[in-house]
Amino acid sequence: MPGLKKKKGSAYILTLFAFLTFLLLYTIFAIGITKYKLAAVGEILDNSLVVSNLSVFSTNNLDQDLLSQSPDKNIIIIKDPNKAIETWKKHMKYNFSLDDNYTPKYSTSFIKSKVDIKTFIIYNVDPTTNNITEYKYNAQAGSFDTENFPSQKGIMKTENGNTINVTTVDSNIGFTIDTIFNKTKYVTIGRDVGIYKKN
Amino acid sequence: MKRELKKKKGFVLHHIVIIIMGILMFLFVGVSFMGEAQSLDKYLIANRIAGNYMKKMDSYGNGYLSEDKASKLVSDFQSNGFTNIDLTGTTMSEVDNGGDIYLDIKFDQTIKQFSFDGLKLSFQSKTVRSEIAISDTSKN
Repeated sequence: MPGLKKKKGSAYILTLFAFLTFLLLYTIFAIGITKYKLAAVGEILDNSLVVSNLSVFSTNNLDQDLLSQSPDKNIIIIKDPNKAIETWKKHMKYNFSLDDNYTPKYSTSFIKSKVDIKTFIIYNVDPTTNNITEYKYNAQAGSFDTENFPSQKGIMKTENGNTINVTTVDSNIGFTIDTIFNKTKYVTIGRDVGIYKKN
Repeated sequence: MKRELKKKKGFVLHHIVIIIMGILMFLFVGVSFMGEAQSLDKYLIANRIAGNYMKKMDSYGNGYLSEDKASKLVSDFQSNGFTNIDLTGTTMSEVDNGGDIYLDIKFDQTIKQFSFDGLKLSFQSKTVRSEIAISDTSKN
């Protein structure tokens, strides 16, 4: 009789052990694949933000007079921050497939919520003086706060941590994405893009 | 002695069944996950190809996708297993400097997935229509 009791306990423990092993393997698999998926989705969304930032450097937004007056100095300055952010918003909405309320147009989108504009900053760099003029977008007021930073070229950093050597657009956006086991997470992505003219 | 031997056989069988069921479940879940990851991986490749062509368009392509480049793009997509490629909506002629440019690629992507036909488990190929839409400004 004691032998019988021992066998019953052993079967139960082995079954439980087998179940837990498979559960562990499944979880490891799910986490691994989810990590890969998030990295892939991250790259796709990151590229969309980079292209949106690049769109700001349309010649329509640049100070053409300054550039043509001294082409050898390559002074690339964004003329009107208000026009620049309108260009950015238009292309950001297109590149992330968002409607006018910054909500995804399609249910298949990687983004599962409204997109919030966290920061939008233009750093105008004058290579003749090394001065930087910062235009920081105030989303609540719908206008830009301007600040000058004398001799800061090559010293000052963007909010994303990169040194500013040329005129740069820095943006950060936030939204919700699907993660694992039907859970969602609010994430922010940020990129800064600079422009210079090849001689 | 006989009773004990019989119990041992049942005991072993019981565990073999659990292990086989576990392995099958793990394989099923694993392949399903892999299928999903593979589909996303393919979409990522398509996205990288599209991004490279957009760079060519906006910086030194006069702001549009030339016929030569369009053929090359279609060929690049086909060589990665995409079919039925449609470039409607893409900027195909020169735009003013600073103007808006678009690269819109619609394509079919084949996804392999598990399916049940009664108790029979099989692989099935499913075709999904995907789209990559990128916009930028011309800087020629």
